[in-house]
Amino acid sequence: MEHALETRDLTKYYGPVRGIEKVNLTVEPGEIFGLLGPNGAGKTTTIRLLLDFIRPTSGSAQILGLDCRRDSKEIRKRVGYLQGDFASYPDLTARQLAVYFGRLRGTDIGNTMAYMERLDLEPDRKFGVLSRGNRQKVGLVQALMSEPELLILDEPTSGLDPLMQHVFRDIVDELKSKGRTVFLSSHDLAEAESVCDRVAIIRDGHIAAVESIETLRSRSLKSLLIEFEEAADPAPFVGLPNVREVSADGHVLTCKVTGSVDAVIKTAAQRTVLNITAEDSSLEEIFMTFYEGGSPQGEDDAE
Amino acid sequence: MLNSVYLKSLRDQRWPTFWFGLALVAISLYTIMFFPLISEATGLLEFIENLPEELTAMFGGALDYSTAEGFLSGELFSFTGPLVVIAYAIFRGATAIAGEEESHTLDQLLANPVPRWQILLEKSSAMIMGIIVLGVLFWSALVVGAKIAGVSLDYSSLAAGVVGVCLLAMACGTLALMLSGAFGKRNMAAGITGGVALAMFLLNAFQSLVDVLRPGRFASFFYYYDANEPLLYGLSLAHVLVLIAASAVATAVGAIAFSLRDLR
Repeated sequence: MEHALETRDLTKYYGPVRGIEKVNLTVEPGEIFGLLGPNGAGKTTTIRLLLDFIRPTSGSAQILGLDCRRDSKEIRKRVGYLQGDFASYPDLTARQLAVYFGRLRGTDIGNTMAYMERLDLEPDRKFGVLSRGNRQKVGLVQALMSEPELLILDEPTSGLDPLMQHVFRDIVDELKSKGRTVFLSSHDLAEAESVCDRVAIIRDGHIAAVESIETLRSRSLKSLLIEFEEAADPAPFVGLPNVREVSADGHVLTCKVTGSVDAVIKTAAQRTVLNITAEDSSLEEIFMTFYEGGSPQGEDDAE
Repeated sequence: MLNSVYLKSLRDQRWPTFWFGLALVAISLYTIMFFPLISEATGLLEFIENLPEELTAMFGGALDYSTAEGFLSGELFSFTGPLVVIAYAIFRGATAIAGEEESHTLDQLLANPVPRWQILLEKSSAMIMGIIVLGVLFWSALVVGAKIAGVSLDYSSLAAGVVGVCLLAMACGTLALMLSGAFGKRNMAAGITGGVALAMFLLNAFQSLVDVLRPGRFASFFYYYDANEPLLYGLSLAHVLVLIAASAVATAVGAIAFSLRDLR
């Protein structure tokens, strides 16, 4: 069976400036795949190469078994795309935009109106007066309207409020149940965790790792802050499995935990605990912990 | 108006077309209605006929203000009329691709299964349609103005003059479109084309005075536009074909360059 998406040593330089280098990704049909990385890592460059908006310096990419350069028109017929920072014609309404792009795609706007309703988007307001979140909804509707086999979404939930992010997750789940493939980029680990089956972590234009969400979760790094009734003593916590960077300041103990927090909680429970807070680490911290320097782990998965 | 890139482009240019058309109509009416005063002022006619060659060169050569056609040829078709239509064409041509690119709407447009060359061709067609609309307004305003002012004017000669202006504007507009497609920068496309058009205008104006410039006249769109003074002597088929060919080449080069490059 052909891959939904495949890149081979995909490389893009903008003059002397590196965009991405030797990116190898494989996305299977029906998979929800995330390209996860901080801003400027090369997510948008990768996506724009896939859609033939920019041309690779070397390497190649295929979508649905078709070459991204040679068969771009056919690919674009079968792929829905949402650009990052979605921009459109300020003098057209969401409905008019749907009509226009629908005509260019040769699809009617039946689905579009249903999606607009679900996303709580007013169809007859001009794009130019919409808030950022509503503009993003227009973009999502454009991408979804032709029920494409593959969706390529650049930062799809950026600007959406939590309620709409939830609706977006529901829509992605539905697409998955229909066997559609979604390739999305994100700089938000929590978002990627909530929708994706697998993610590739991209950093400085290189794929640092490709992981299933389960693996990523097991590596999820939390900062724990435990407030004791008495002065905090770090000693029992040092050396606990999965625990690092233990420190104490007055009654408060802080540490970083990967995966299960069981050992920390049980140790803490031997004394009187007033409060516990846990914070998910930023993507950057996870990079620093698991993928800093040296050879990236999990690269084999990317082949 | 949202069935194709071409129709959408026509919709996008409706207001620019309206305002440029209004300017053209106003200038046309003003000029033609001024003619009865000029034609009665015999002293002025003599003065004009005796103007130095250096000055009349700017107005397309020797001036004959005794007929409406001669007057329009010198007053309206030598500079102001073409200027308005050329400015419109350059503006639309430069905006065509680069406008979408600079406002970041091009990615979404190209996410649809439409090849780049087709988008450029459709936008080019819309620009040419806009020029034709201006041409029709130009001709109509002069015809109406002539009727009001009681000036006798040969409508088919007038049509030849207007077609000449449109062809000249099309050549300039497609040049701007070519740069717009090739580089995706609106100001650059408009600026370079404006500069080139001015240089071509001056080259053509002075080639009759400065021997060293004479062989260069063939490089000027303006030479093909007014060497024959279409308002007085009709269109030259060869010159028409040169302007059409130049437009076709610019459009083709623009389409190829646009298809080959990275979007910004």
